[in-house]
Parts: sequence; C-alpha cells; structure tokens
Amino acid sequence: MPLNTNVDGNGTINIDISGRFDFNLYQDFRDAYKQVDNPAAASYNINMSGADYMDSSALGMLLLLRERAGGDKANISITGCNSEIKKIFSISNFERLFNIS
Amino acid sequence: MFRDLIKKMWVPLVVSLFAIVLHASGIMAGYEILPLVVTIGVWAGFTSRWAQTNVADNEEDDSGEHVDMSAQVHQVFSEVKDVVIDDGETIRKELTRTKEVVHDAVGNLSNSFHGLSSMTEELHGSMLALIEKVSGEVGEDQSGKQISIQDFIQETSGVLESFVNIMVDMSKQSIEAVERMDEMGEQMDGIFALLVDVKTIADQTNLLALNAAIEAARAGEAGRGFAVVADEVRKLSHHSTKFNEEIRARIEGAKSSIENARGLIGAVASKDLNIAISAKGSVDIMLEGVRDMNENISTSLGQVSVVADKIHEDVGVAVRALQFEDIVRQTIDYTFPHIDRMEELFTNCVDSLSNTDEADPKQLTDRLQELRGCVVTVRDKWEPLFHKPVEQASMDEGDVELF
Repeated sequence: MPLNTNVDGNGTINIDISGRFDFNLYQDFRDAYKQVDNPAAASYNINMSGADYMDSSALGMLLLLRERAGGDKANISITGCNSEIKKIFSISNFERLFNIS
Repeated sequence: MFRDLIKKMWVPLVVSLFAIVLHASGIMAGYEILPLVVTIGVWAGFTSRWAQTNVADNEEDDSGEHVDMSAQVHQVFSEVKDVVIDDGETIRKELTRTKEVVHDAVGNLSNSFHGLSSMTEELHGSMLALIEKVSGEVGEDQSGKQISIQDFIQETSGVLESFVNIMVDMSKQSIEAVERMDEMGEQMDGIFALLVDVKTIADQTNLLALNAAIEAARAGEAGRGFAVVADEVRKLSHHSTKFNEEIRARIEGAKSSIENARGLIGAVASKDLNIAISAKGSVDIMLEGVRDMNENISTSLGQVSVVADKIHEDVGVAVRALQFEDIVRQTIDYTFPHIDRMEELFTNCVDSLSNTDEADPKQLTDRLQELRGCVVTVRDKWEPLFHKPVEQASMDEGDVELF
C-alpha cells in the first residue's frame, strides 16, 4: 500500500506515504483524517521517507488537511523528506506552515 | 727660448687651467674664490721668483736677450689672457644655453605631467561610470525608475514564487472541489438506498393489488368493482417501479458525470513541480552570479582607485621634482658674477705684470703690492653681488622655495 495510517495512543495520526504522492492517494489520504471525530483536535505525523515524488495535488491535499486540522493551530509534522521534496516545500513556502524535516 | 719659458711656467699654467675647469664644472660651487686665489698666489709667487731668477740671469745674460725674453713673456701673458676671456665667454654662453634648454624641457615635462594627471582623473571617472552601468547600480528605464540586474532577478524570483503559490492554491481548491463531489456521490448513494425502499413499497403494493384481485374474483359478481380498483392499484405500482428505474438510471448518469469531472479536476490539481524547481535553481544561480559579479566589480574598483591614487601621487612627486629647474637656474645665475670676477682679476694681473720691468726688483715689489690691493678691491666689489644659491642638493628635501 502506498499509504498506511495508524492512530497511536496519544491521538497522533501517523500517515506513511511511499512511492508517488499524487492525486491517486487522495481518497486514502482523506480517509486517514476523516477517521477521527474531530480532526482539529488531533496531531499529525506524515512520514515521507518512502516517497520519491510529489506533485501539486499533494501540496493541495496537505493544505486542505491543515485547514481541517485547525488552520494556524494545526499540529502537523512532515518527516523523512528527500532533497527534491524538500526543495518543493521550500519553493512553495510550506516551511512556514508545517514542521518539515 | 719659448719652450724654456713654458718649462718654467708649467706649474702656474696647469694650476690656472685646473681652476678654470673646476669653475666651469661647478664642483666648487660656492667656493669659486678659492681656486682663483690659489691661482693668483701661484702666479704671483712664480712671477716674483722668475723675476729674481731673471735678475740673477741678467748678470750673466746680455741685455738683448733679456728684452727678447721679456717680450715673449708678455706675449704669453697676453695670449693666456685672451684664452681666459674667450673661455669665460664660452662658459657664459654655454651656461645660458643650458638654462634655456633646461627651462624648455622642464616646461614641456610639466605640461605632460599635468596632462597625464588630468587624463588619469578622466579615466578614473569613465571607469566608475562604466562599472556603475555594468552593475546596473544607476541604470534607468524609460519611466525614470531605477532598475538593476539584481532587482530583475529578485523580481523573477518573486514571479516564480507567486506562480508556485497560484499553482498550489489551485490544487488546494481543486482538491476541495473533489471533496465536494465525493460528498455529492455520497448523497447520491443515499438516494439509491431510498430508491430501494421505494421499490420495496411498489413491490409490496403490487403484491397487495394481486391479493386484492384474488379476493375480488373469489367474491364473484359482488367483487367485480373491487377487481377494477385492484387492477388500477397494480398498474400504479408498475408505474412506480418504472419511475424508480428511470430515477436510478438518471442518477447513475449524474454519478458517472461527476466521476468524470472528478477525474478532470484531479488532473488540474496534479501539476508537476519539477519545472518550478529547475526555474528556482536557475534564479538562485543567477543571483549568485550577480553577487559574485558585484563583488568582483567592487574589488576591481578598489584596485583601480588605488592605482589612480598612486599615479596622482607619483605625478605630484614628478611635478615637485621639476622644480629643480629653479635651483639650476639660480645656481647658473650665481656662477656668472664669479666668472666676471675671475676675468677682472686675471685681466688686472696680466695687465699689471705686462707693464712691469722684471729687471727692476723695486718695480716688481710695487706691482705685487698693487696686485694684492687689486685682489682685495675686486673681492670687496664683487662680494655683495654674490647671493647664496638654493642650498638644496636633493629634490627630496623639504619644500622648494619658489621664485
């Protein structure tokens, strides 16, 4: 599966993404944060260590997740980015919106 | 006889020539009187000794020979005097010529250096203007607004950033639209569930109508009217089922249309960002290049500035050094009275000795006395005319007093 989700004991939703992060993952991605009753109360950890490509729809999905998760109050970490993906986050100024590492 | 005389006179002659050479060469500048006095002393000593020797000789020689000898001596004196005066004139001429040549050459050199100095400044200015143009620091477009390469690249960078932002915003909105469509799909699934309920009702109605028809048949003639009603109800349930099927078909059509639109919007949302990455990389490289260029330009500017300052300084030193002309001119001017004095003294000596009868010791003594007086007179007469020339020996010393 290119996208795996689990919710740990602290209420953090972990989303592991591998391969291409694009529109094909939309449904799974949406389901991942729809599974909790109150998405704004949860914190999120998106693990990108298996991802090697990302297009603009992935950015759109992440922005939508941020909105659903409380906008400026959202607590979303994106980890394990490769250099290309980091460049995309940098160009689109996502570093100001997410904790990226 | 003449050779004999030269043999006897070689000492004072050599001393005289040496004195003239010393004077002309300027080695003894400021002390010209010394070789002159020494020369006159040697001549005086020689003359007196020669006179005594002559007196002694006269006791042996006959008078005819003495007259001849005396005439020759006077002749030599007169020739030496001519040579001295001639040389003095030549020295004056040559010194005047030297003065003029030095004056002209220094004038030309001075003009050249001033020209060089102003050209250096002009070059410096042109260089600055060029550098400013290249780096775009003061470039202006037609509206008079200042532009530079750096601004241009930063503008490009900004445009790229807003392009990426627009793209990301568009993706986000598309995804949002897809989300709405999915919600619509869910609503439609709800309608399908309701349609199943409606079909169940229709089926049950149909069953009820069938039962009613059976019961009507069993009642016979009395149930005939009821059978008609039961048939109508069955027809209604069939219509209902048919409508139900039609609604399902329509909604399924709408659902597949939405599915198509979802795919299209998804494609709109999915844009490759590699082009933005490479554009951003190019802009970064350009910015780096401009930064390097500006750094190189300021380094070069510093070097040019240092060189220009050095040239300016060197030209200043050269112009200051050119004031040596004043010193040379004053030194030469100072030399002229010394030549005059030497000539006057020498002429007096020679004229005085020429009119002396060497055979008469008393006359010789008188003449020597006269000559000593003459030396003092001439010295006192010329002394006030000698003013000290510039004492500076090197152009590096202090400030030059300008005249």
